[in-house]
Amino acid sequence: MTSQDPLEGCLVAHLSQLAHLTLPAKRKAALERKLQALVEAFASLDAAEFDGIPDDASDPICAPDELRSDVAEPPPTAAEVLKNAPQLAADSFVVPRVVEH
Amino acid sequence: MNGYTTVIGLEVHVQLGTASKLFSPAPVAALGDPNTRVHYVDLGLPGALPRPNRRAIELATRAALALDSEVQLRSEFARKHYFYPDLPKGYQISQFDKPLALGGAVPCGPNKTCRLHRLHVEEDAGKLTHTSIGTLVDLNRAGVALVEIVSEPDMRRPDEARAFLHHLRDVMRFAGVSDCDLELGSMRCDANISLMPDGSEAFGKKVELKNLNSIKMVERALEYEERRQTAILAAGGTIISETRGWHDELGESRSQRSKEQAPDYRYLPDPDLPPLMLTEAFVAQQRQQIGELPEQRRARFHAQYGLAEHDVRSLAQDRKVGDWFECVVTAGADSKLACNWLIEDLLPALRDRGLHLAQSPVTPDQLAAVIALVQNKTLTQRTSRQVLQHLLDHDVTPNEAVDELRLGRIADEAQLQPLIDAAMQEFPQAVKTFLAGKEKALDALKGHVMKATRGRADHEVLDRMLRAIIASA
Amino acid sequence: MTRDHGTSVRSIATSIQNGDRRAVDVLDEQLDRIATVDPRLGAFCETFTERARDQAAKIDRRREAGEDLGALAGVPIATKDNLLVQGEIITAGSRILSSFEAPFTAASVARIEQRGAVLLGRTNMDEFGMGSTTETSSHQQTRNPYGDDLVPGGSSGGSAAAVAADLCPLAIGSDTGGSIRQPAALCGVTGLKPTYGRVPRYGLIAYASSLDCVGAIARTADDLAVWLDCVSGPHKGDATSIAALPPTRSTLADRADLRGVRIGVPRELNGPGIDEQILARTEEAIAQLREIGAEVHEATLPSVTHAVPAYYLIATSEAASNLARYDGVHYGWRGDPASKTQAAMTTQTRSSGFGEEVQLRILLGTFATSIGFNAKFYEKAQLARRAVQHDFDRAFADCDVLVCPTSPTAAPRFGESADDPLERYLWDALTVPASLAGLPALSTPCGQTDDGRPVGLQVIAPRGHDDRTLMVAHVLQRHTDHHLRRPQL
Repeated sequence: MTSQDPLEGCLVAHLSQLAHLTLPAKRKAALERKLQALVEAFASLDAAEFDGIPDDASDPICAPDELRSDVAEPPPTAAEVLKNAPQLAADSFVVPRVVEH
Repeated sequence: MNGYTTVIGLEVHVQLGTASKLFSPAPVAALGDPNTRVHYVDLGLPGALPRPNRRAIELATRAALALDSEVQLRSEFARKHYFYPDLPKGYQISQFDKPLALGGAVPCGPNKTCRLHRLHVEEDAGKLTHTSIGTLVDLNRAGVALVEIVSEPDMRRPDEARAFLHHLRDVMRFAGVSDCDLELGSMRCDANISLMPDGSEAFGKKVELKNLNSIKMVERALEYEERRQTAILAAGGTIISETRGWHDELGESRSQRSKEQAPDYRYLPDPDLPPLMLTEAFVAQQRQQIGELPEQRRARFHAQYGLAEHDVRSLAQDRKVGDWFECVVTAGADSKLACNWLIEDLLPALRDRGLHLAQSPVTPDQLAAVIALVQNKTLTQRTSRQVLQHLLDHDVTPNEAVDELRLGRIADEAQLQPLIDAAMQEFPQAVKTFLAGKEKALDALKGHVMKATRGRADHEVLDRMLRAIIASA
Repeated sequence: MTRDHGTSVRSIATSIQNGDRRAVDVLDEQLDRIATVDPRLGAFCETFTERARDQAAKIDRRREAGEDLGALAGVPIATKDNLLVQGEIITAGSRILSSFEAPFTAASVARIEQRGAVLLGRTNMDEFGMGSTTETSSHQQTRNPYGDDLVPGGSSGGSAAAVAADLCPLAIGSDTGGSIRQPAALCGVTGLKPTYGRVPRYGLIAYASSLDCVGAIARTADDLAVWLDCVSGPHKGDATSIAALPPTRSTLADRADLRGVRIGVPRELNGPGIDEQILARTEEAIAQLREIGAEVHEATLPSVTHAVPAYYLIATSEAASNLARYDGVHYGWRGDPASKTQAAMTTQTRSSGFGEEVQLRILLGTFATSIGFNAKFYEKAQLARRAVQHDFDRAFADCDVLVCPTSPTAAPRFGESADDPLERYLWDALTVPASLAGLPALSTPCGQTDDGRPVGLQVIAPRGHDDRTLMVAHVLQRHTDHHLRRPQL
């Protein structure tokens, strides 16, 4: 682990912003502790060395021959696509206005 | 410029010419009612999984080869995460540290080349429309296959950026990768520009320009930005690293968002997609499919057909035109004539009829035949053009056209005699003037016969006969 | 003692195909039992009553017409609430999908329907598969049939409880880090996680894509073999489904003993942190295996100490990514419709729509993949994963299967699950190694604790050799009757 404690409060705030999650104040502290505990546990992983392990030749790959051929298939109708939409108008999904960051 | 060097880099997205999307079999087409070209994979529905499109990989590989970029046999798909309503999965499937190709080069001036940094494949996002009730989301475009081409910041002038884009566009079209039309959106360009103080090693603060909807606009925006940044620096200010949108109607760029902190996309190798493994054989196949590129073709046409610079340029710009030209020559026509006929007569005539060369009712063999008819004097320049027009509208052979139009050259003296007599009667003064020494006086007589024969009279025979008759008069 | 109450998949299918029983009658019996027993257990979120009745009637009609019915003809099968069934509400145990209607059926479910199965309904689960007790479901609690105050395990707790209580002969689930094996062990039934890539994931609501496997729970290994044979095989909708795997067999070899079978017991998975009674039952099971003719010796998987942190880092990283799509825009629940901006709406949707455990794992996964930490954690975890795979490969050079307990404890009580997430995570320590390595692994009942709580024995085989796990369990089941034990309900 680096000398700096990786889980300062502002980091949790930063992660929350990245993940688009807001934590209620009362849970924030508890969550921070949990994250901290997990991170410390995973420090053992950080310290471990994993050298000289061969690649597995049977690992799957995408070979060009096996890729999907470029044939268009009829897609679902707009109604089907929008079936589970929380809000729709004019055959489109509707969201509250998007603000450029 | 004023103690600063302009540094320009470009990031270009090219839409690949596939029938279906990159990871789903939904159709790709320019137009369509909203959300009618959306597969569940494009919608990011839980449980839907991506399936890569072979042709997209083929075309992307060709793009890389056409730009002299080094194709990486092993590359990986990666998820690039951010939240936005045009991105249903909350991430874009792209490529991160193992892209399809590295390096490459694009000419950006008569003696200048701009290096490429990399080229990779990725999927496009949907489209947003802002309205009073909120933002509307149409996912028709979500998932379309793109290739992203990133240049090194080697360009130093806005016109170099223009040249870069023209060349890139031509090569992409030529290689059959994309129709690459900035105005239609099959090519999109963001530009980065900074000013570096002369003598400095470090680049200045970079500004990213977006909303550049034509190649000319790219150049204009860069010119504006160059001036704007110069003015700020001259006044002792500092440039803010940011994204600025170009507003062409206002002729200025406006700040969109600060770039001081780069977004964290949390790239993750896509666990739904195993690494892409190309073979040398596959790459060789793609190279073969591209065939000759514009530069090579220009050189060859010049050497092989002895054509002038601007003729070569016209023929080599579009692969189909060049291919067509070569077929006409193979069918026996002289290369210069074939070139002229194709560029000056056939293509304009097709355009008038709203047709592409591929849809031409006239085949290369037929054009060669028409040219031959002019060469053997069956037709004159004028009448041969009439034949061409006729062939475009009627399904007949050149010889049939000549007959139908009654355009065969009249070289039969018996036919011409009465017409010459009539002309001499019409222009007695001309005869006298000619005998007095004015050669040009013959033109009136010739013109009269030509008119009567609708241009079919054989020049040489007519000339010979007229002189003979006048001489013996 | 009757070994088959006529309630096995195989016997039901046979009796329907023979005309001895009608599919609609089998279904009705099952629905009646569910109506009687399930209010107490809470295994099912919903029964697909109408759909099931239609399917059963169709099977009967086809049988009367003399048509071929398929290996699962008329067998009522439950599916976990994270497998899409066209036209049905499927929620992955989450509020954020509470009214989501599936527009297509998952590939693995379509395959069993094609073979005549009748889809009974969807079973309860931990939200998005994140949990080992089914307590994080946003809908209801599921109880272990062996004790009202006991958890059924998770995340496929509903499926395990349903089979244990004879609400259905077979229930499909998913296993990412033990989510089939562990609840099967805690409920005294048999559960199989197949080789990764054998059963297509198309239509499975993703938790961690490189670890998720569609699997099943039944009373016997024999029934699981029937199921596996029906669903196994590559699918064009799933680029990670593997074509070149050894084939399955719908009928397990008719062997009386395990002579010639070499069984390895990894020392790292058979001691540290495991309940004494679990160890005792495991010892007895191993002794039993010896008695039946197997050669048993110690094995070692040294890298397994890193398995839990590696698993959690990989799983949470992929989960954070897979759950980014739940933003209230295109489908699923939307939080506050009066949100002023899209970003606020998405944040509010996710913050209220996801439960606490899910949010915790998303944050951890976000952390593990963020700039500056990616190289430290995520990449290291992938290296550790390779090391674990490599250890298994080496161990399998000397043995045909490995065995160990499935869970370090028997079913805990509700609310006993430690608040310490680390302790909770260590419960998965025995199951995540096989998940990381993509190996087939099965849990078979091997007794109970003194207070009557079931114990499971885990059998792990090399990649592609799912049949070995089934075979070993099958032979063990011929010589024991732990798998036939039923709860008092």
